[in-house]
Amino acid sequence: MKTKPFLTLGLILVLTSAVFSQTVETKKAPDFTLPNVEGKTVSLSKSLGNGPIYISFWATWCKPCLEEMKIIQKIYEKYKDQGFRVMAINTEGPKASAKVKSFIKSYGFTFDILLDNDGEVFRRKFKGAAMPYTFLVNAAGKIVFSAVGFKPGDEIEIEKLIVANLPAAPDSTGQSGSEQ
Amino acid sequence: MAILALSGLFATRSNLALAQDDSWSVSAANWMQYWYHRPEPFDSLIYSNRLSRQDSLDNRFIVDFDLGQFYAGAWLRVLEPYRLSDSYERITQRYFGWNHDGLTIHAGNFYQTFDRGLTLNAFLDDVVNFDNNLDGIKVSGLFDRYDFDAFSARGLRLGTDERPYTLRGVRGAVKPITGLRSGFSYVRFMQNNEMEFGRAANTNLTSINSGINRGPIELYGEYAWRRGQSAFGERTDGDGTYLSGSISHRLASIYVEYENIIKLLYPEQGPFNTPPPVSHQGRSLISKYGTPGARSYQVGIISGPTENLNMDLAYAEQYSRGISPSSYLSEKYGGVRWSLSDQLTFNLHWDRHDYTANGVDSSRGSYEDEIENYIDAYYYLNSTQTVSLVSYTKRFTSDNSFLFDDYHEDYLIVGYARGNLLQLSVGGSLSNKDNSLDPEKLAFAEVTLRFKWHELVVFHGGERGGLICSSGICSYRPTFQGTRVILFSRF
Repeated sequence: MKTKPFLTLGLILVLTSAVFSQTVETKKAPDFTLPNVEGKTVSLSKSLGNGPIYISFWATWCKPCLEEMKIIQKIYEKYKDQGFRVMAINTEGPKASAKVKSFIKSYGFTFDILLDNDGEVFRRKFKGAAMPYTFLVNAAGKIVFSAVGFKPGDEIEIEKLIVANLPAAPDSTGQSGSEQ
Repeated sequence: MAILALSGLFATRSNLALAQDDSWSVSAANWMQYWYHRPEPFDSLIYSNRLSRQDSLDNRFIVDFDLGQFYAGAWLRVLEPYRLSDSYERITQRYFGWNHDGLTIHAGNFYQTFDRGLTLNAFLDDVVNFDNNLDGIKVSGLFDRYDFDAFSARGLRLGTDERPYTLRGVRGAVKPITGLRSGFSYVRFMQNNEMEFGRAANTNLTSINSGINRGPIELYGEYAWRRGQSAFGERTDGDGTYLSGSISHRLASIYVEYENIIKLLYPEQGPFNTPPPVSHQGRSLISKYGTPGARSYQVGIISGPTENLNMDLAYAEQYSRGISPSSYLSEKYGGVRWSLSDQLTFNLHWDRHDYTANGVDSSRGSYEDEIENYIDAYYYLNSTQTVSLVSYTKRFTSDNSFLFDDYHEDYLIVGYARGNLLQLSVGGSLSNKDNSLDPEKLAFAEVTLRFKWHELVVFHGGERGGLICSSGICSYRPTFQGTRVILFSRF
């Protein structure tokens, strides 16, 4: 009896790695529609086509998230006129609804802040478990970068990928983009 | 059976991988946690080494198929905990649905929050091991001028796989002009009581809400009332009010919250509405002491006078309702984030909780006040390497010296990170708590390795337990001593 869970686990891991090891490079970002902090509706699929989109899951208590967002704000200001967009998705639900707007204003964030109130997008669609949890999606909706956690210095690679995926860049398909 | 079903799903693996294109995709994640408990002096999870095993395993596998406008997915969980009789292996969630242009039809398991959660809040929170997912069908619409949700589902009895509750609900909101919204929600909760010959307990929750969100000002108000009867025929009426407001400015923003609740929550083990905790640390008298209601408020100021300096101040108070003598909780919080240079950042906070727990069941928690002094510092050696230092103390004082003595816990953690690939932490804690289950000294080492979509965390040593609160739900986490391995993979 005691070996049963290990056999099960082994079977799961072998099957899944065999199936999915070939598909990582062409992974499509799952679509979602969420309200933003101003109450407007934002959809990923409708936002595609203009340039790369940086998706970041965050919470007000998450210190590395705030460090990341401060750095991404600078990159956003640099490239927003060329089609770059940021969607920072708050995952705290109703417990933080009262202070999210105050938070982003005081931290000086001007990009889109979305609210994932029941965690469906973070947990089910993006398989999130820890934050910050970030994705860079190219204009075609393909994931070209993903990371859990953030340390200053990460923005160097992120900015390179953003520039490579701006509309005017020669290689905007993201097929050759590295992950992490 | 669950494994066979999933194996069948993957039988066409070559076709699956090759046929995947822009119109459809497959994604999956596997989260495995293995614990080896040091058995002496006691099993750290159940305080006894006689009935338990030394190792436990928790594996959760999630797979999702995205087929254009259609989607489907399943969660498989293999749990082999310290208590052998609690072991299981089953598909815990499965679902499929269709979405297009803001409209979604979903069948199977789901989470759902109605507005601020006064009438419905079904969610997952791993911090406190809370999961009250629903199983049924729902239709949702999210559009610029209106949004709605309607569902019929079975509710989970916490800690089991039984679904003895039926919930049906609908909510809607209209946004006639930008920044203004008004809405309602209604949830009907039904539960049969076998002891009363199947007599049904019916609970109806209704709420109305309205909000303004324009420029720097945001105001929101919701009033909910509960009408119904228990399976024993007694009335179970209650109500709740939640108000919030904020004025936001680049230099400083102020937010306030007010909540007044009495007998609003669903009966028995069906916590399908957990209103927002009016507390900086997510604590609530209702959860900690099981009071039938509470009147609470919180005032907070968030300030960012310069790009390198951020401050967060909050003050909250909660007074119990419906219980005599009353209980009380207050919280004072002050936090600062200070970037001294491009390479050095400090985070400091001071957090004080004061409890007065008169007349409540002492098994629900200690009678202690708690003060936390916290500081962390991150020094960036270069663009890929960071060293960190985290130090904090917790002081617990007791109003009742017959039950508890004053004590403190002191923590120190040193860390090193190389990009996102490697993180090392070593640390420990000291405590003078007079409790044989809570050792005086604990030390640990932890390594985190990340490679592409995979993350491996190995922890060895001791992790001090305590009160954990999140989303307004509190639980006590016991001290752990041993080795823990976590492997998280996304495919």
